[in-house]
Amino acid sequence: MLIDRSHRGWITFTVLVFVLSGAYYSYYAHASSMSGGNGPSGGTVTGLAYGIVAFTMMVFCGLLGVRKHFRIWRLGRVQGWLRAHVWLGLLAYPLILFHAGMRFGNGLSFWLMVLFSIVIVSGLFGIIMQNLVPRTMLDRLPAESTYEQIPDVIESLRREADRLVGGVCGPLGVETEGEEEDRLPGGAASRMRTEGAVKGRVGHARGPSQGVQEGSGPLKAFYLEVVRPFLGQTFMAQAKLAVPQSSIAVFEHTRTLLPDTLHESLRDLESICDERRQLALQMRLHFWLHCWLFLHAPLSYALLVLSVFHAIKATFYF
Amino acid sequence: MQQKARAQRVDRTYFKRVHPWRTSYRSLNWLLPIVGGAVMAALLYTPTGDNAYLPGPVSSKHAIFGHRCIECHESGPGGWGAVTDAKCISCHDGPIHHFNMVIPGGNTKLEWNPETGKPVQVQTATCASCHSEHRGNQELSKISDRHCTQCHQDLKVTEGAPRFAAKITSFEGDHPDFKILTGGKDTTPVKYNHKKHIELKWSEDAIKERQKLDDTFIKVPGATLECYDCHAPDSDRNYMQPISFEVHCQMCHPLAIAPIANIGDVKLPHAQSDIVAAKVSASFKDYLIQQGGKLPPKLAPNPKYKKPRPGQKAKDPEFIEQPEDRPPEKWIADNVKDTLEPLFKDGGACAYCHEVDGKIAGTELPKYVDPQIPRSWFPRNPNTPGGVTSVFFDHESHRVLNCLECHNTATTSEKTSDVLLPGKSNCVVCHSLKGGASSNCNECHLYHDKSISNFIGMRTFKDLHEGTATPAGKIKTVEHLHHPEAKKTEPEAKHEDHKTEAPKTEAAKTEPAKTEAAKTEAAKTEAVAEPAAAPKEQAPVQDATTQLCANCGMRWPLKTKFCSRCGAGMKAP
Repeated sequence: MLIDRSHRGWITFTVLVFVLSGAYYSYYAHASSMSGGNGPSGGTVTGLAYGIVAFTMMVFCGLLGVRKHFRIWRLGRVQGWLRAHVWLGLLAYPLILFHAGMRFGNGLSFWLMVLFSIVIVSGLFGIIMQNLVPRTMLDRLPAESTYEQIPDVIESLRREADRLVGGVCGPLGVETEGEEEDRLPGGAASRMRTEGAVKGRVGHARGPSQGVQEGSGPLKAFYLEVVRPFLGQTFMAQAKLAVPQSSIAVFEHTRTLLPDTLHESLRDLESICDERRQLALQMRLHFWLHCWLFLHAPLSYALLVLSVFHAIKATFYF
Repeated sequence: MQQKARAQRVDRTYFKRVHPWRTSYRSLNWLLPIVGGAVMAALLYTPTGDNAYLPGPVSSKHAIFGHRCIECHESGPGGWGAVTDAKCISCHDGPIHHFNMVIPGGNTKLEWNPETGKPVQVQTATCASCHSEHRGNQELSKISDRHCTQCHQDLKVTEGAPRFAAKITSFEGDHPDFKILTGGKDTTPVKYNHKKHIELKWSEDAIKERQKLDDTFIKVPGATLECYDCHAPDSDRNYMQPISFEVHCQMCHPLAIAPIANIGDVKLPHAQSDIVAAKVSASFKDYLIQQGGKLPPKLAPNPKYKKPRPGQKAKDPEFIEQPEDRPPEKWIADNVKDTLEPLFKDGGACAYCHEVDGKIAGTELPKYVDPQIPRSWFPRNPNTPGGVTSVFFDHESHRVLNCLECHNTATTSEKTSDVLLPGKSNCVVCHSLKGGASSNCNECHLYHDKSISNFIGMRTFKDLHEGTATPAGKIKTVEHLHHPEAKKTEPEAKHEDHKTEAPKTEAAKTEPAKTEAAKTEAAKTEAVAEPAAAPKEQAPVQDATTQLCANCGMRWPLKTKFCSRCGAGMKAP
C-alpha cells in the first residue's frame, strides 16, 4: 500500500488521537504519581479505558483478513480497510503502552507486549517495503513474471536456450525435459506488462533446426559450460553471468570467437541470461516485499487470542 | 521479443497451483493462534500455570510466598479469584480508620448478628482496592491521595460531628494548620527556657561531667550549646528521646547537697521526693554506722567572727565546732529536715523546674508531677490504647536541615508552654509542587493504626517453605482471628475439632469455594444443629483493666467507648 495523499485524513486522525490521548496520559500519570499512588496501570479506570479502546482497534485490524477473504461483501473498499488497518494498528500501540503504564509487565503481559512490538515493527517494515519495492521492480524488472510461475518460466527459458543453441550447434547431448512441448499446459497466458522500463531483447523460440553451422563449436562449449548451468532453477549468485557487467564482458569475449552468423544467436542467449537475472532479482524483491507477513499476520492473530486470555484473567483477578 | 512468445510461458491456471509460501503463510495464520490459545488454556489446569498470568512481581514483603497464588487469592472453579479481606487479615490485623467513618463503598466492616451471636462481614472486602500488588518492589501502603480525599474533601460521619476539617483536598491547599498551633499550648509540667539555654556556652567542668556519661562526647570549652547536645534521636530515629536529667541537665545542675553536718557530699537521685528523702536519711544513717555511732561535732556560729572588709580575710572562722549533744535519732531527723527543706519548699530547688501536685500519700513530702514529655505533639486518638497518634514525622529524613530552620521559635521561647512545633507553612516550603518534595497524605498520616494491631501469624516455617500456608482450619475468617478459641495451640484446636466439629471440617473440604454468605448460613445451621460447639462462642473473659469489643472481640482499655477496629460499641462488663 502506497502512503500517498489519500492517507491525509487518517494521518491527521492518528496524530490527533495520539496527541490527545498522550496529553491525557501525561496528566493521569502525573496526577497518579503526585498523589502518592502507585502510578498508572491497567487496573485503573483510565488504564482500563485505554486498554479497551486499543483492543477494539486491534480486533478491527485483525478483521482485515476476514474482509479480504470475503471481497464481495459491501463493507467498504478493501483499500479503505487497509488504510484503517495501518493507522489504527499504529495508534493502538501507544494506547496499549498507556494502558500498561508504559511498562512491559510480567508473564503473559510481557509476552503480549513483545508480540505486539514484533507485529508493529513487522507492519512498519512491510509498509516501507511496499512503498519502495514495487517502484524498484517497475524500474529494474521489465521481464517481471507472475511470482508463482517463476520456476516454470526458468524452465521455459532453459528449454528456449537449448533449442536456440541446438538449432545452430547440433544436438547438445544433454537431457532436456519437455523438448517436444514448448508451451506450458494451459495455453497462452494473460497480457504482457506494458508499463515500466521494457527494454532489451528477450530470447524467442526459433523455428526448426537450421543445421550445424560452421564455427559453432565455441558457442556449444560456452553454452554447455557457462550458460546452461546458469539457467538452472538454483540461481548461481557467484557466477560471472549473475552480474550484468561481467556478463557483458563474457559474452563480448565469446562473440570474438564466433563467426558473424552466430552473433544473433549469441545475442538471444544473452537476453535469456538477462531475463534469468531479472527473475532472480524478482524473487529477492518478492521475498522482502512479503516476508514480513510471515511474522505480522500469524503473530497478530496469536496476539488477539492471547489478549482475550489476558482480558478475562485480569478481570477475574481484579 | 515477441510478446506472445513471452506470454505463452505463463500458465493461465497458475492460480490453481498454490505456492508453498502461501500455503505455509495460511497454515501459520491458523496454527500460531491455536497453539498459543491452547497453551494458555492448558496452563489454567496446571498447578503453577497461573504464574503466566502474573501481571508483575509482588512486593518484597510478599516475596516470601513466591508464586503461590493461594496465599492471597481465593481459589475457585477455573483458577484463582479476587483477593479477599479474609486473606489479607490472616496476617495484617489492620483496624478501620475511624469508628464513625462513612465507608465509601467497600472497606471491611463487621456487624454483630444477634441471632447467630457472630460478627458478620457486611461490606465487600476491598483491602486490595487500595493496596495494589504485582507492581514490583514498592510499598503497598503508599497509596494515592484520592483514597483519602474521596472522604475528606467532604467529610461526613455516621454519628456526632467530624473531629477534623470537613474539606481537605491537598496538603498545600486546604489542609489546616496543625491543631496545637491554633491556640494550643505545650502543657508539659516542667519549666524550661529554650532562649536562655541556646545562649549558653559549654564550660570545661560541664564537658567533663558529660564525658563521664558519654565518652564519645566532644566539645570545646566556650562552644555554644547546640540543639543536638540535648535532643538525641530515638532508636527509630523518627523522634527525639525524652530529655534525661542525668545526661542532659546534671552536668550544669548537679543534685549534690551541701556538706550539712560534716558528712561530706551526698549525691541525690533525680526522683520523686520520697525517694530523695529516703536517700538523704540513709546517708546520715550510713555515716553514723561508718563512724561507729559517734556523732560529728556540730558547727555553731563563732561569736568572735567579724565579717571582713572587701579584699581582706576574716581573722576568725565563721563557724566553730562544738560537741554534739543531741541523741542520734534526733540528730538524723534534724539533719534530714534541714537538708530537704531547701529542696522541697515552695520555690525550692525541685520546684524550680517541677510542678507540685499535693503530697505523697502518708507523708508530708510534696508530690512532683511526672513531666511525661510527649514523643509527638500531634493530637492523639482517644480510641487507641495509650492514645497513639495516627500522624507521624521522621526527623531522620530531615537531618540535612539545621534544627532552627524549622524550630526557629526556639531562639525566642522563654516559656515551656510555647509550642515549638513548626507550622504547615514551614513544611510547604519543601512539601509542595514548587518545593519538589512529596506532599501526599501518607507522608504523615496512617490510615490503619498499626499500634493496635496484634501479632496474629499462625504459620510455621514448614508452612512458608513447603507452600502449605493458609492451612485449612487455622485461619478462616475475621471473627475466627479475634476469638479467644483461635489462639489455642494447634494440638488443642485439633482435639476440639475432632470432638465437636468433624462435620464442619468435612464440609469445608468438599466445598472450598463456598461464599461468605454461604458460610454464614452454614454457621447458623451449625449453631442450631450442634449444641456441642456452643462453648466456642462463649464471651471471652475480661480482666480488670481492659474490655472487649462486643463485635470483633478486640481488647481495649476501659476508657475506650468504641472499637477502633470495627466501630462497634464495647461489651458491657
